[in-house]
Amino acid sequence: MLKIRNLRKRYGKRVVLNDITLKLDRGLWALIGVNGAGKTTFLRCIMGVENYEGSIKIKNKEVKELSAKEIAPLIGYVPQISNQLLPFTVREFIEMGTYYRSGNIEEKINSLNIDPDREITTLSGGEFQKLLIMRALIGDPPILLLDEPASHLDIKNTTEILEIITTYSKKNLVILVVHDLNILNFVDGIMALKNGKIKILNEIEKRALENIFDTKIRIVNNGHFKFIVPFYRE
Amino acid sequence: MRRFLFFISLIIFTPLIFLISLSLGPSNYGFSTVIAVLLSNGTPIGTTIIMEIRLPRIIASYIVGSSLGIAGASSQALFKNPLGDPYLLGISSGAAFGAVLGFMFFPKLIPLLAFIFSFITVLIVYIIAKNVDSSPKSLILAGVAIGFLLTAISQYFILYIPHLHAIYAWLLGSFSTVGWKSVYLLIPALAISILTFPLYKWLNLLLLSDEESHSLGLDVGVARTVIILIITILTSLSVAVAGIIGFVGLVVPHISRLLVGANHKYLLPSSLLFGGIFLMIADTIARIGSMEIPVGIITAIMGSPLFIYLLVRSRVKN
Repeated sequence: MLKIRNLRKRYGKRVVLNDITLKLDRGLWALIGVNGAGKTTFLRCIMGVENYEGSIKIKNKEVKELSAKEIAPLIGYVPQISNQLLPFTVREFIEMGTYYRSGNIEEKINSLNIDPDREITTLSGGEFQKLLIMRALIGDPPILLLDEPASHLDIKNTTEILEIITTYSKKNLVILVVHDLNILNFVDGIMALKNGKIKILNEIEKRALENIFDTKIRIVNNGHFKFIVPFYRE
Repeated sequence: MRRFLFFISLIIFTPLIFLISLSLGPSNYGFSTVIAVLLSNGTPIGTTIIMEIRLPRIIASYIVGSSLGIAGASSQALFKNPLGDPYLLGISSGAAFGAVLGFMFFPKLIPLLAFIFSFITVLIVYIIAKNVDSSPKSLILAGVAIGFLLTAISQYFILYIPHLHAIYAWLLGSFSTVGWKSVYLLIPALAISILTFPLYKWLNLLLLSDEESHSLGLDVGVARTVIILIITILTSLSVAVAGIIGFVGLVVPHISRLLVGANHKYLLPSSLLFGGIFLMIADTIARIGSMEIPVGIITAIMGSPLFIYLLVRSRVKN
């Protein structure tokens, strides 16, 4: 699905991504790293918003050679926050997903369970986040990128969103930028970004996480889920 | 429903206000006289006043209003900000600078110089912003900086050259010198305004972050350049004909948005219709008194209370 070879990205002299090579097929992958590690830059390169050195191929097509119109059916993107202050209706907002892709919007609207004529300004944070995910999923793109989708949501909404993307990742590739380490319990694999390099962790490796986040990590088992609780340095 | 009512009332009121505006002036005519003149059955004097003075002026004010409405709606999408204004790109300061040069050296070429200098100003602003990151923020900042520079130079000339005081009326906007020639100049503006309607998808997507709009298929760079070009042509033509009329580009799309929503599929046509009607009314008020008032003063006096009322009401509703 996604093949990256010798990817480099620098702004002036600062190297953000340094010689990354990886191949991902389907599944739910978490991308972790400290603030400023280059997670968003990495996503922007995959989407073709940024120019880059090296090669990024989606379904064997080189991303930097594709126009935005050609990328739209290949990648769905869910931002951390979007412009919720504008008086669009739910239907008008989700319709933006069909401008340059073909896909059924009725099915997405139905799965939202929100009145399609409601203005997005009146939606709760959780409802709006689900709307953003549904808009990104129009046309069923093979790759879904999410930038901290659950960073300001409660447990109920987080669980619902995780269910949606876990189901989607059975047949597609989903990359999830996360800061909430609890979510790592639900993913198929973890990519850690540090010093411009990506390291793939196939299981939750305590020492590696401690190294990446510069913090000590304790694993707690409460009977239902296994939580990883980071201890921040004082 | 609210959207539907707004459109219906705009469509009904436009011809009505058009007729009222034709009949009003220093000498008032009845509707029957106006209609007789329009059907070329009028008295010679009435025909001259209505056909040669009032009609071109009313048509020009309608087209300028609708162009500023479209330019304003596009600016608010471009800047991702409901308080955006076409003049933020530096167009008004560029036009004023051109007009000052015109007043000093080539009084006949004032409209042309205003047009050319507003275009050059946007070009400079665009190049500066492009060298930063092409973001809406750098466009605004470059526009404001260049605007201040040109305004300072213009103000210097106006202050120290006595006969330039006459330029104040032009700076506030006026249709008093408008004839059929100006209407012909404005026809491209009307055409471009209507041609903007199919670009509603671009404008909707421009409101989102660059990553979002890119992933939804929009070539952000191309869209932004085309929209800036449209804003510049519409605003420069308007300014060349009628001077710097403030408030229309800000308030018309904003009020339209409160009534029809943010989707540009409806926002563009309603800004065009509402902008036209708004400026037609304002200019009628400007010219029917014993002394002509610059229309920019009327638009501000009419627009601010309406704007504040709708703003407060929308806050209460939410």
